[in-house]
This record gives sequence, structure tokens and C-alpha cells, in this order.
Amino acid sequence: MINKRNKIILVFMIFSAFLIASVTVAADDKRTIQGKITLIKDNLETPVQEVELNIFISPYQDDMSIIRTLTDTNGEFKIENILTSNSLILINFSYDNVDYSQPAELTDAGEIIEIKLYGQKSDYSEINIKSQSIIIVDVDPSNEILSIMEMVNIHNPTNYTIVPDSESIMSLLRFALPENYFDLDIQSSLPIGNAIEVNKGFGMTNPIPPGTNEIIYSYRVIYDKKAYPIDRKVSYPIDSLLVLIPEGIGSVDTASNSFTQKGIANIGSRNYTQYEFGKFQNAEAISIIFDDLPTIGIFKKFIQYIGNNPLTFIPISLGIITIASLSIYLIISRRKSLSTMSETEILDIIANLDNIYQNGYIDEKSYLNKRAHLKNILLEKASKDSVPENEI
Amino acid sequence: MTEITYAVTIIASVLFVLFIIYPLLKGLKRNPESVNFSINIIDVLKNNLGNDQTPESSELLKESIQFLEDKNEEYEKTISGLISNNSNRKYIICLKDDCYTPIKSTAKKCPSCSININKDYFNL
Repeated sequence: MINKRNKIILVFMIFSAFLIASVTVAADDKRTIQGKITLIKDNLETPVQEVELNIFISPYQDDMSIIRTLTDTNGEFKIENILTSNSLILINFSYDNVDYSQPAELTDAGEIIEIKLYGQKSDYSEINIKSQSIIIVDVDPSNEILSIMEMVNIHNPTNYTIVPDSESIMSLLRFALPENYFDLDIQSSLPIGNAIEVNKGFGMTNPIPPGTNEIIYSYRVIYDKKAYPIDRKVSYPIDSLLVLIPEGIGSVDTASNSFTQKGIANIGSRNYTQYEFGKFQNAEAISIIFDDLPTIGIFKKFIQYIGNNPLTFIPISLGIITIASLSIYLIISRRKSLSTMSETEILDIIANLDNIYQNGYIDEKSYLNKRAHLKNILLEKASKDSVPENEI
Repeated sequence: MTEITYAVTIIASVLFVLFIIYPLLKGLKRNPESVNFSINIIDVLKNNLGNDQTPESSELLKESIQFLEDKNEEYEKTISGLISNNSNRKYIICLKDDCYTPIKSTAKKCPSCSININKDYFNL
């Protein structure tokens, strides 16, 4: 039986649990999104009015929802009482023909999200690359495929967003790639744009806002030798070029541009040898030769080819059988038979047979049979010219 | 390769084996020398002479028998000369009972019955 004192404690505990739960729900689920968009142009900050915003709540999740709103005369926006357990949002909007996608994180303190826009120019001449890393991600020796990833920190030092000139196709953010590359994949922190693949690389239409942005692209190439060269011209000045090769997979040949080896870097539980190539000016040539790449022997390649193309085994094996048969035929056809031998050769064989018999190497019955056979062949040969066929 | 190419290659390969390789290999099958064991031709002619013959054919047979007997004598004389010529022989005959294959001095085994060859036989 529960006494009166215990009853009071139990009721108090249940009440406390409800109270804590309700406070937690309120704190976790009801949030406020507030922010301000300003345009910085000619060193002047002006609020961006009446811009339509699409705010994605819990983007990349199954329970994603969209809220639409407009900025007011002060360039501000505010949405209250948003029920969400996820603090990540994505603010998408379009201004002056440029699409922006700004990720943000909601905090309980209701901080104001500051979004700064800049005036636009189509001049790529001031762009430079703070750092570029070329990383060999993987090597497939059986198919001789090299997977390469390049990480570029592109820097816009101006106070303008650099946008492509719609009238000039050359006015793009351009990157060179090795010839015959495939499986190109590009990701960047730049505002939304398109990538255009061309024969010797790719161009990006993404606007480049002031500051530093990251572009990561990966691709694969086929190498058919132990060495694979990367030769290209620098499109934008590079402050620092770093090449990373997994330990034990290959190296950089000394015939490349001058470099210094900078020890081992551990990335994702894998050790990489670092090669520092330093600075490159605009239009300067980069030459990097990957060396000592793993290769497999011709026999293994052949076996693998058969494995990948099992039906080709049939004609190949038939070809081998044909060659073997012809070889055997040629060997056998070179053997002489008694009927094709000359008279002198057969006579020499009979003389030898007589000697063998006299030395006791053969019994009389065999000797007589063999000698008679040889003599018959000789007489048949002689009779062909002297005796008509029907008389025999 | 496309599936059609595969199919054409396989059909062509099968036909190649069927009409080229198989007949070629079939043609290699030779009768052993022993099967060709022949009856003495002089005895055959003498036997034919004993049967009913026209005078012309009897005369012709007698001439042939004489020719072959002369030839036989000639062969025996040559053999006698070759017996004493104890030099390196180019060919010998296989010594196995039912094998009549000529064996070249470079061979280590008889190509028909595969018995080992005593190299001393070539110097007899």
C-alpha cells in the first residue's frame, strides 16, 4: 500500500516530468528566422528591398519544407514560430540575374543572418588562386586508371561579384584538365551556376563573390605507362600548388617543375607524400609527371581482358588450336616415309639392317620381314617404269 | 564488340574448325608402314605367268621378271658395298617387330611407335 507521503512525492515527480518535457519541446521546436540583405556598391551599403526569398527548412531531409517571404524596406525579413527540430536552413533568392543559395544555422538566441551582395563586373583579371592541391585519390592498376581530385581556393580581391559576360564565351571561370579525362565531378561553395565541359577542361558560369571560395573537382584518366604527365597553362596566378600522392603508389618525377618534398600528410587514415611546387604566374606552364605508377604484366592484362570479355575466349582459343594444328601438320609432313625415299637411301637402310642383324640386335624373323619389305618397295619403284600396271 | 560481332565471330570460328582444321587433322592420319607390307612382286609376276596367258603377254611377263631379277641382283651388289661403308647413316629402320618407320639420325624416338633409338645403330 502506498502511504500519503509517498503519494505526494509521486504526484510531484509526474508533474515535474511534464513540466520539463513541455519546456524542452518549446526550446527545441519553436525557432525564429531573421536576417538582413544589403548591397555593397561603391563603398556604400544599401538595403535590398522586396527580394523574394525561398527558405528551405531542414534541406536534404525527408521532412523538408519551404517558406516564402519578401524583404521589407530595410532589407530585413523575419519568420517566427517555426516548428523544426533541425537547425539547418537554406536561403535561396535571385538578385540582378544572379541566383544565391545561402546556408545558415538557426540558434536559440535568434541571431540575425547577414547577407551581403555586391555590385557586378565581368572582369576575371584580378582573380587569383590562394592555394591549389592536386591529389591522387586512387589508382586502379588492373585498368590503369588514375583518379585525381583538385581542390582550388579561388580568391576575388575586389568589392564586386564577378559574373560571366553573356556576350563572350571566353568570359568564364576556366580550369584546364588532362586530355581524355572522364567522370568529371564539380562541387563549389560559389553561388549557383553551370559547368560547361570542353575538350581541354571546363568553364563555370558561377558568379564569384568577394573573398575566397572553394572549388573541388575530380576526374579520372587512363595511364598506359608507369609515368603520367600533367601539362597545362596557368589560367589564374597560383600562390601555392601542392601535389599529394598516396604513400607507396607513386612519386613525382624530377623532370617536372621544380618542387620540394614536404614530408607525409595523414588524410583520412591514409598517408600522402607532399610535393610543394610554389608560385605560378598567369600563363606559366605547369608540368607535373607522376612516376612509378603501378602497372600489371601483359599476361595478367590478357587474363583480365578474357575475364572482362569471356566470349572472346572462343575465337582466341580456336586461333591457338589452329596454329598448334598447323605446326603439328608441318612437323609431321616433313617426316619421310619409305615410299617417298630415294633408292640410295633405302639401299643404305637395308645395308644398315644387315649389319644390325649380323651384330645380333634383331631376331631373324623381324630381320627377314623388314628386309623383304624394303626390297619390295625398291622393286615396286623399279617396276613402275618397266611393268604395266595391269600385268601385276 | 557488339553481340552481332560476337555471333559472327563464333560462327566463323566454328565453320573454320569444321571445314579447315578438322579435314586437315583427319588427313594426317597415316597408315602405319606395317600395313603397307607388300607381297614380293617377282613372286606375283611368276604366279601370273603360271596362269593362262596369251603368248604376247607371257613374253612381256618373262621380260619383266627378268628385269626385276636383274635389278634385285644389282641392289644386292650395292648393298654389299654399303655394308662395308661403316659411316654415319642418315636413316635406319625402326627395329620394333611390327614397325617399318624410317628414323632420321637426329631423332631420339621413333615417330610412330615412340621406342627409344640406340644411336650406335647409325654407325653400323
